[in-house]
Amino acid sequence: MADKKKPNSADDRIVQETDRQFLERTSTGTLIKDVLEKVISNRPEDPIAFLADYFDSLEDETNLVSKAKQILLMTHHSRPVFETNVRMAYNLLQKHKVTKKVYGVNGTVYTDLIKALCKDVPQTVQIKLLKRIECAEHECIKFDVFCSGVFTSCVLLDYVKLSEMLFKSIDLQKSGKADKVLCETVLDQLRTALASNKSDARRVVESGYNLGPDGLYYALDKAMKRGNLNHGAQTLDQFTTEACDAFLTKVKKLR
Amino acid sequence: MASDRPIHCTIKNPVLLNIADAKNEFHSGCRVIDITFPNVTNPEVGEIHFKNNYVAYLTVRIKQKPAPPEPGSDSSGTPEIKWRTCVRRMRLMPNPHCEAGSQDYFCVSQKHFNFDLNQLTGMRLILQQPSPVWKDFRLEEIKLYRSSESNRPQPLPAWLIEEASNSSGKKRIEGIGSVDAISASLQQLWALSEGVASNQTDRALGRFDVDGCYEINLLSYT
Repeated sequence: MADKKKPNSADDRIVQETDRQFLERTSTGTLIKDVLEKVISNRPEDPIAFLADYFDSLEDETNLVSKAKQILLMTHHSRPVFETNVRMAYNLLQKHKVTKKVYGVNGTVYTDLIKALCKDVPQTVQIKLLKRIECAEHECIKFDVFCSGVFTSCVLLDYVKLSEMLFKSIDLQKSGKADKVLCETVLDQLRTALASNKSDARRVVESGYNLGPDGLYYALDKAMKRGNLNHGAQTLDQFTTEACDAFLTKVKKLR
Repeated sequence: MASDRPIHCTIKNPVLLNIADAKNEFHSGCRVIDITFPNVTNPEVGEIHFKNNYVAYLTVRIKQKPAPPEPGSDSSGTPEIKWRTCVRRMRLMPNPHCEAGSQDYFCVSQKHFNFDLNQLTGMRLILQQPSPVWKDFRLEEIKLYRSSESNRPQPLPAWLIEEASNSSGKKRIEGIGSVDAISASLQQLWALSEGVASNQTDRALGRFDVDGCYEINLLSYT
């Protein structure tokens, strides 16, 4: 008797189920709510692509690093949500299995994540960055270290893009090669600005002026007047590498 | 603006003025502090800093080196050096019987002086406290600073005061785009780097190795 009744009651339930109950049973409602929340807080430029990526990686629980990378790239590093995302990524990576019973973020998974983040950065720059913030396998990565490393990598991505843009504005002919003297002058200005100590207010203001249109014009003009133009050219890669070297001096070496 | 370091001078202990002898405990309400400048060439004072301790009025008198005698005049007898009053009865406590101002920090500067203090040989601070309410009165942390003239502010750098005339037009350099665009990118690069620099962690991972000391070749020899 009992066996007979069961399918009946199940049928009844399906018939009587309201829309809300259906959403709750399949947990679609919370899923959509979650993703909407993510879209709103991260404000991606291309929401559709964002959604596609999100659902794509939803199933894939195995590759923690790519998932963490996706979380980190959800939003720009200048937005406040970025911090929350870093925390989320860190929590996710804590599931990383180190040994049989030990879980947590170790050097391997951290370095993998940094490498994944800097995939588009020129190889030479990537190696130099890793030299500074890479961690060995046995090291346990605290959140502070993680946060700083991830932030550095994300900013570096922007930095590389920007310096490429800068190169393009020097190289007007789009020949892929810009005059070496001009590049050197521009880079020199940047290096002096970066070398100025933050506590020395006068140096900071002076660097600010040197990078301004007037100061830059003055420096470029002087370089042109020295008159050894067309003595060589610099490629995009060389230029970005040198610009990034200046950036990397600001990255503290891990202890 | 006073210079950073106070003038090196000798400040003697305050002397209580009495009408008669020491036995006669008459409260004169007047003390004198003598200051000399034993090892200072051309001592000149621009500011006097001190902390008050129940002094109601302050008078400053000074002695100056005599001006060199004029060639024409008769320079036989040594000219008498007089005490000159530079600050007369400056009120430090609005009401001598009340607490107000009794513990304040004061800075007597050139605007309080009757004349410029240069070529000093001695200085005398006269402290007065007419009220018998207070057990003791004195000045603490007396410091003299040189005149502000000797300490002119550094000149402004050229790029700050230069005229903005050359910022208009003519900013084209052959072979490259606008200087403005380059400048904007450079400034952004700078900002990004500074952002990263201020976000670096201080937490140590606990590495003990110093660069290169675990070099395998070195280890095998030791």
